[in-house]
Amino acid sequence: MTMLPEEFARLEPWSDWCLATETQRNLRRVSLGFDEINAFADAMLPDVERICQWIDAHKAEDGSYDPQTLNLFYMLLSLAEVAPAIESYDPEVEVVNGYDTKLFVPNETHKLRPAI
Amino acid sequence: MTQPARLHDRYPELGNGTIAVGPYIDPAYYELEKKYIFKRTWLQVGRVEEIPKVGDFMVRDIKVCDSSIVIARDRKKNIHAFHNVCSHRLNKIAYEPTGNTRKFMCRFHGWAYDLDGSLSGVPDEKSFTDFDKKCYGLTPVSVDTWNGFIFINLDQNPAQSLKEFMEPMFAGFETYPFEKFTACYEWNAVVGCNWKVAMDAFQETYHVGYVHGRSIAYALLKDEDGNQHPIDGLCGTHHRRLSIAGDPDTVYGNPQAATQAAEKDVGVNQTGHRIAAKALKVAQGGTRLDFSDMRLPEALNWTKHPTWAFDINVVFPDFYLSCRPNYFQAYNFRPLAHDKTLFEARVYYPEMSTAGGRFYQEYMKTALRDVLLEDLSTLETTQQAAETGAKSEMVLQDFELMVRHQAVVVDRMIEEGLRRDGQLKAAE
Repeated sequence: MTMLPEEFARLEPWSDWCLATETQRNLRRVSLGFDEINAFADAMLPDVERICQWIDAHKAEDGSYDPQTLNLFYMLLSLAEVAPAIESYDPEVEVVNGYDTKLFVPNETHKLRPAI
Repeated sequence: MTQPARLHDRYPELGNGTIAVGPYIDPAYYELEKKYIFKRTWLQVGRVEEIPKVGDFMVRDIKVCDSSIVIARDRKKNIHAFHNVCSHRLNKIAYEPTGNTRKFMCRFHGWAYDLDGSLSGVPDEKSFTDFDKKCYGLTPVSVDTWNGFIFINLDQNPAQSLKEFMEPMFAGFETYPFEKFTACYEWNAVVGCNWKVAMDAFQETYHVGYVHGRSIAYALLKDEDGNQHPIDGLCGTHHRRLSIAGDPDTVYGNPQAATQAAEKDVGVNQTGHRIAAKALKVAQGGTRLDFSDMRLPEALNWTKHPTWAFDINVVFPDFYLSCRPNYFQAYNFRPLAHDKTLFEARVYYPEMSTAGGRFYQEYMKTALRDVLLEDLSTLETTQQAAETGAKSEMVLQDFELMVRHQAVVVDRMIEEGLRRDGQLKAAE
């Protein structure tokens, strides 16, 4: 069983980025080196349109997704997580001279937070 | 070309000298703030969308008021606020931060209260002598709403209604579509600094080029000298506002992003921002909202600046509200001690119905979070420096007027409170 839909087998090596929460995605970003997150972004960028089309096409009527599509969605959100490092803090993965990200805690259960 | 009027010239009553460091580090001053400001001022605690249904409630521990407050929606859909304190032998009546319930029950002896705070059930009631349940409801707290924001006031008879409190500075916000931005992300941090140090870091743009030099400084408009001065500022009796201009050729200067209308306008200059450019592209049509014919309130962008980006609105004492054309940010700087602050940051976007829209939103949200980490980075070191006692005064430039305004208003309210108490004592 693969993590991602077969059509995205090319991205399977990056499946450690299939993380459901902002906390997990951020923790992974700041635990890696810049080259690793940059390679992930390079792998993702050419496929972003196709990924979005796939996710929208596989949304069930009740708004849910099959597990592999959901993983693909999480992986897409991981690309947003690494964006500030690549666009602003290169060659650092964390905010340069920033406050400790682990002390600025997302409220993952806020009533108005989107389910995904 | 004439020089624009200096902000300080318009508010001579605020003075123009240095400001004292003492109020940022003195525990005794903090006690006065608690007594004369926080325990008798309207405080923002959340949005009505957080408790939409009958029986929905949230608990807010307001340390600076020494209080835990329950805000609940009753059977008639009215919002009530009361102290989270049982009328019998104390203990609490709500134990979870949020939830939905039919009644509030104390876990000590099982006293039960209705959603409006009235006492409805007392086990073994007949063993109480001359007992009237009507006299033992929960202690009410003043509560009201302003454009969907819930405010409480620990003063049971507030000197001003919430409307009277808000209107002098914030009349005309009614048409801002707060209720359309229902996708909320929140972060919290307990920061080792005075609440005024924290607020100050968010009410000037002087720091932007430096603290945010790597991240969002590029999105604010620079003048010919490379400065990022605010367009204008307003100081009221309590509240204050700053208006900020942006660069429209950035992901932030794109109010139509994620709407259908965005399809006509993708050609933004995103040099060095390849993920931003991709996010904008795939976001088209991500939200069903349409901002193209939306008329923002005249009260926003009050100077009618052509590249206005957002306003910073500080609702005294600790609420920061930044309204943009397509989302808003709502922060609270809740004092916990003279040198400790709970920073609650929330951003509200439109809900997205496509993966591309959601990706764009995650991009915006993550970038904001990291910018906030930049802002937070200065707070504890500033507090530590203040506490060394090396400096007793701080010097401000013209566009740091809001830092001065805060210091002056806090000082004035404490003085007024002390004077009132002095008069009361003299009258006794």
